[in-house]
Amino acid sequence: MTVQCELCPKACVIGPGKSGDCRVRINLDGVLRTVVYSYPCTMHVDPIEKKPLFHFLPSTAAFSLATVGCNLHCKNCQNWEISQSNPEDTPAFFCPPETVVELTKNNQCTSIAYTYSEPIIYYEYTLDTSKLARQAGIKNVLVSAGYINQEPWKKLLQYTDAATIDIKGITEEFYRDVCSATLKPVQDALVTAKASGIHLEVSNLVIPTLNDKPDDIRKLVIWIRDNLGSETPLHFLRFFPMHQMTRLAPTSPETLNLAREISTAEGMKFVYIGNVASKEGQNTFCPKCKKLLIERSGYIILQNRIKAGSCPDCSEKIYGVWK
Amino acid sequence: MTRRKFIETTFKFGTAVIIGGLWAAKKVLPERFVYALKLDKYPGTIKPLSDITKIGKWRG
Repeated sequence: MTVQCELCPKACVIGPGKSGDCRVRINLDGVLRTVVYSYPCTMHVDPIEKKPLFHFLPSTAAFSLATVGCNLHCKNCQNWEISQSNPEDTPAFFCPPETVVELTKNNQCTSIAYTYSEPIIYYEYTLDTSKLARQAGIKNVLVSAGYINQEPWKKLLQYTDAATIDIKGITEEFYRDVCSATLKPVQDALVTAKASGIHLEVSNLVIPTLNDKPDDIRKLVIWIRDNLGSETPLHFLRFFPMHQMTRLAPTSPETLNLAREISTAEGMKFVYIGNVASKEGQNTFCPKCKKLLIERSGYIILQNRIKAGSCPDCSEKIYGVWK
Repeated sequence: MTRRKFIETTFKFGTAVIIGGLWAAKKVLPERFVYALKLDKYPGTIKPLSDITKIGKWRG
């Protein structure tokens, strides 16, 4: 008997013994099963800034993990070696939720980041680990493309403290041609995440010739401002030639700076540039008095002047979770 | 055929068609799931815990 997976908008109809588009949810004897529960293929201790999350517990460590698989197939995927591989071909650790929580504590991490590939496709593992982590006083962080149906998304958000959602572009054509997905469910997931009260940051990988036109960037920024709020931190990330897009050049720093300028002009308060050296583009400034609040060098915080969540000079409240 | 017999036959035939249709639909239409059950055996190989305290080479 065939089964239909309704976790994400792809709604894969899966024949007996076959897997869905994500490679990790299979039909076994007419029942949908996940083959990666308790089996991450990679685990690391990362600075939270690497996610990127710049306004959530700065200078803390996030115990970061991922399984193989993804429900998107972005031609530019920066982590394609794990996101586009099959469980059969990729060695994994045996690490049930209890062990993840234990390792998080042992490595002095404040949070667990479900990241690198796509936490949505290892949904049950993410959810159960998040529940245990919350009981243990550990924060849960999602780094996701947000391609999920509303019912499971709302359930997962109940146990989530912060998320960085990557919005790949602002046109259906981009999502269809580059990511084999659709835009609307991602926009819905972003709006739901913000409305749920979790801390939310948004990233966008700027790819030369594909989503780097000033008009597209402006459209993206206006959508974020109008639907998620101008206080939502926005990260423009530099593209490097990868996977099926090795013929494109890396994004120029000028393009990233232009994206930042457009965003600021449209009223976004916290705009950052990632994957490239940029003094201005990695620091946090007060949106009211314009004074420097957090100075960063890569993932290192050189100084953090925020006091009780506010600017020490003009008392402007700064969006984020600061302790 | 009496009227009573005709109604009985029609009713039985109709019931059989509906039950048969539902049975066929159950066979043809996929069963829908949002959540998956875990599978205890990983299809790939298991590696020992190591190198987990380093910063990951992956983006994100």
